[in-house]
Amino acid sequence: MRKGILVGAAALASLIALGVHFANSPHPRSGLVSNDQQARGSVAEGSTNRPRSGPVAATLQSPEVDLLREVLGLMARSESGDAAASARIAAIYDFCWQYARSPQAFHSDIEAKKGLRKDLSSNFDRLESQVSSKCSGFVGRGIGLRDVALFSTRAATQGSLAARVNKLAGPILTGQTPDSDVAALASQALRSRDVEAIAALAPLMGVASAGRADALGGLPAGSALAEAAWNTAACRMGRDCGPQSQAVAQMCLSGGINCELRGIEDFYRRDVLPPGDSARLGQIVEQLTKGTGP
Amino acid sequence: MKKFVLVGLLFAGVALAGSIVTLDGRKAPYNGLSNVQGTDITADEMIRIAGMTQAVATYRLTHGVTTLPAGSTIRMVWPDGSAEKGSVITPMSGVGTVPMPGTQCSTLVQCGWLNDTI
Repeated sequence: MRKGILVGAAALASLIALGVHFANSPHPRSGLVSNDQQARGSVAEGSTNRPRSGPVAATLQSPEVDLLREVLGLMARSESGDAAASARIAAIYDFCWQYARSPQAFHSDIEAKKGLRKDLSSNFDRLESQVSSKCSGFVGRGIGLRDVALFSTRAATQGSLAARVNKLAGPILTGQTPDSDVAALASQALRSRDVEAIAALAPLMGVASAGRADALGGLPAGSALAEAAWNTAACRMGRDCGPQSQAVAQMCLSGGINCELRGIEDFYRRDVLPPGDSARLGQIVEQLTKGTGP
Repeated sequence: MKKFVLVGLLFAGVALAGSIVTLDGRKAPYNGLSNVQGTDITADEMIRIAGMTQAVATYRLTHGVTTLPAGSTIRMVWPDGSAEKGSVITPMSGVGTVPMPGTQCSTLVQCGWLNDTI
């Protein structure tokens, strides 16, 4: 109970802090450009999706900076209320901010991981190459974890179901969110076939929900098998879950899991689930993707 | 015999449920992480989130992919010896583990964790 209160207070404090940050920012997108006034103008151009001059436009000549290009293209949509655009910007910032802050520190962290898992050394090299090629355009532009939270909060406010799941993760995990609300949220994600929301629900429906599995209206919950089913269902409904995907890279970089860089379904089948659960996984996934429950 | 096995399993389960993993930022491998170095309980919350998330990922990398699932609680000891608890939210994001308000302490003695295994 006390733990629930503490985490709830943490979530509230975060929202208040973010609200203050937001209110004090002349432009919510300042995380992208706060260190570079010249770039601020270029982002304004980028918000029309047609940057024509200045350092950002010059940077975009390089084919490697596709995620910067994507953010510039999404910014105007985000500012005009497009929840999916805001959620995607949050996901890109989440993927890029550590490299953008300091490629040297990022490299140092990669080297440390290689030291801990020599068997995965080539995979970490591949990850570093993937991140540097996708995120180099953000270096020196001042994006940080606060900008991830900022755009995620904006996306939730604009109606993104996945962002709402992320914002409710703390209260859900500590039992502060009524079981009926969790079930409704999960059912809504399935009904709308929102693959990012379904994937965001996966860790919440895993072993963390063991105590409430029976109260979730028959939805799979309370085990690693359930987590695997939600994540795999999102993949089969169209989420990019392949070995080269941003989702797989994020699992390793932020979560320290799946650093073998397998596709997500393959990861669960080979590294998480006991052999007997593999057949059951297929059945539960099929039920989820059909929206019929277990 | 069967009864003893069951009782043993029960005790093991209770012990497991009650254990909290401590990630000691004064020691390897956590003291070398970019978001842990120089961080303490007075740092900006986002920096502490980044440090905790990075430390939890490092723990999973060395202890197994099913360790510290969402819903777990950790103890984070920062390089200066200050400490706090964190709540594991997700392994899928940089906002993966968040500090728990009211758990911050300047020293392990103040936390009452000095005699605990860390």
